[in-house]
Amino acid sequence: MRILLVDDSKQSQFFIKSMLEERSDIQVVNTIFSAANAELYCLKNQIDLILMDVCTADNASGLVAAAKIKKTYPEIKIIIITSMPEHSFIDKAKEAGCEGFWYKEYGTTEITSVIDAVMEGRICYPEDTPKIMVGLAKSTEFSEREFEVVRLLADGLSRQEIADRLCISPRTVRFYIDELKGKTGHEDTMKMVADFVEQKLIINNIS
Amino acid sequence: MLRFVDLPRVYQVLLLVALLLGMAGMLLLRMIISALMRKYFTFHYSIIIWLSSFVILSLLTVELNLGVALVDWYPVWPHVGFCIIQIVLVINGFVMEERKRKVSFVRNSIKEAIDNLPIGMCFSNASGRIILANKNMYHLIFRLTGKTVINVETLWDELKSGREFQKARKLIEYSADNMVSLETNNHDVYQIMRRPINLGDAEYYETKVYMVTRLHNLMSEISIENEHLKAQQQEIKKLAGQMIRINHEEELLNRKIQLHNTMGQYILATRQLLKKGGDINEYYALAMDWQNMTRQAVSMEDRYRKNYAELLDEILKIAEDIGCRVTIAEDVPAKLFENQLARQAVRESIINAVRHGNATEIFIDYDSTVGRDNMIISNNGSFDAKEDEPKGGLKNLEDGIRALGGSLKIIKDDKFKVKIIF
Repeated sequence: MRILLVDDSKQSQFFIKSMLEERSDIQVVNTIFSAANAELYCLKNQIDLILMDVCTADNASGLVAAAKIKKTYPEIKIIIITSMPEHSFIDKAKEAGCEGFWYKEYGTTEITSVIDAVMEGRICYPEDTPKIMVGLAKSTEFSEREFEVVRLLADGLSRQEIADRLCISPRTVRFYIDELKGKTGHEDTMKMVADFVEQKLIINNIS
Repeated sequence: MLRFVDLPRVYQVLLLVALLLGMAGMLLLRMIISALMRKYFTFHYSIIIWLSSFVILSLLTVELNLGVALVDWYPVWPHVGFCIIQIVLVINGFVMEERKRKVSFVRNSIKEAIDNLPIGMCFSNASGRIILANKNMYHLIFRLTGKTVINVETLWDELKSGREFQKARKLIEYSADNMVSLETNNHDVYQIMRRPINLGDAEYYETKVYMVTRLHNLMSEISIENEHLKAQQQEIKKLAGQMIRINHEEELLNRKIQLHNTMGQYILATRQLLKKGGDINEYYALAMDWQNMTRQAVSMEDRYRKNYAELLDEILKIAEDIGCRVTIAEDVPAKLFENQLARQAVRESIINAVRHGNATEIFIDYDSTVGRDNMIISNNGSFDAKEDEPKGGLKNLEDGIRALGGSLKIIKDDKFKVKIIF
């Protein structure tokens, strides 16, 4: 099994490689820092599986690169690997057509188990995002809409702009913000948004 | 005294017949005596032969003497010949007996050796009938199952199917197709192994019973240790993952502190300039510094400190790997590649050139006409002269460059060229 590892952290590369090298049937053919270069590597190299980090060097999104590669090389299996508990990554990975998803720190499944499942033709995703504390609340207590509102707040949009974007009224946006503040225990909206960003539940500019 | 030759012919024939019958009778007598002695006495058979032969010889001697005494024509030579034959038979008997004794000794030695083995061992045929078994086999099987071994096939079927026996229980996890493990009530563990032996067309089975208590206990200890090790490995992996995150966060924090300090200085400088006033060049220089500092702040996303050279190097290395050599002209300034779009341009050009034109060489040239950076990327691959509009990755690149006020143009002369004005 020929695997391409895309991760911009040398430590992370070393850590994952050392786990995979325990298996004699797995060969890590190359390690790349930027996801944008993965498609270039696949041009003439035989690859069975790509382990793709989401946030890679040169501002390259692993999710974008994965979608491109799946279009051109549908036979190559892709497992998204990340240490960010960002809420939307799992859905984006599924939209990109990736066969697997693995949290570097939060997962209870071994990476080799995910690799085996994917190579057998199964789709292997964690059941849910990791439970991260945001203030007084767990990340699993927030709804999809609440995450969307926080994401747009982190982008710097005003309540009116958020309302327009989400096709809801400004009063509804205010309601969501109050709900979020109530759950997290934050009194200040910016502090609440900063907490979400700090906990890496919201990472913007990743398509 | 009568002589044989003087006797009438009839009497001569009768005497000879009587003589022959006498010899036969003595032989028969010898065999009868030997058989009787073997049956009713525990003498060594060679002694039996010797005794019986001695008796016969003695009788013959007596007969010979009587014959010689009675008639002078008594035929001596047949008697002598008969004695010689008897002696030969006695010697042969001794030799054969010695051979039998040796064979018997070997068989007995084997049996004795097998009996003295600490393990139980038996050999049986395909139907389970025991051909050879040592004492320990019977003893151990009885100790384990409470039953006597009569048929090995029956015993094996019971061992394979049963879980609980009279004095032991089966250890399923340590049993296999040709092996059954049993644990007694006092925690001794025995293994019963069976293997086929093929001798020509015949099929036999060897069954052995071992005590493996110590080995079993060691294996259990090792298994427990392995579980501990696995758990520790999991813990280490988890900690390693956390270590990466902590390192990253430390790096980020350091960068944040650095940025905060730098921003503080720039704010002070800006305030100073605004207070005292300055000429346009000073304002422009400060604005450029703010721009560079902001760009660096944004590139904190590149939090593992990949510098531009490393990012470009990775593209060039991968290109080399896929058989495409990239030559950058000497006059191309290194600073050009600090621009992410420039790196993207190189990457997309390589992808297009290799995928659509089978290019093996990429050339990057530069000029700075109109005061702007112009990068010209060409290749030695084939191209479609009709296609003028950028597609796919090049189209995305063009959109990005246009958004920053630049332009992308495709030129086709002797080579396929992409000219990018930043």
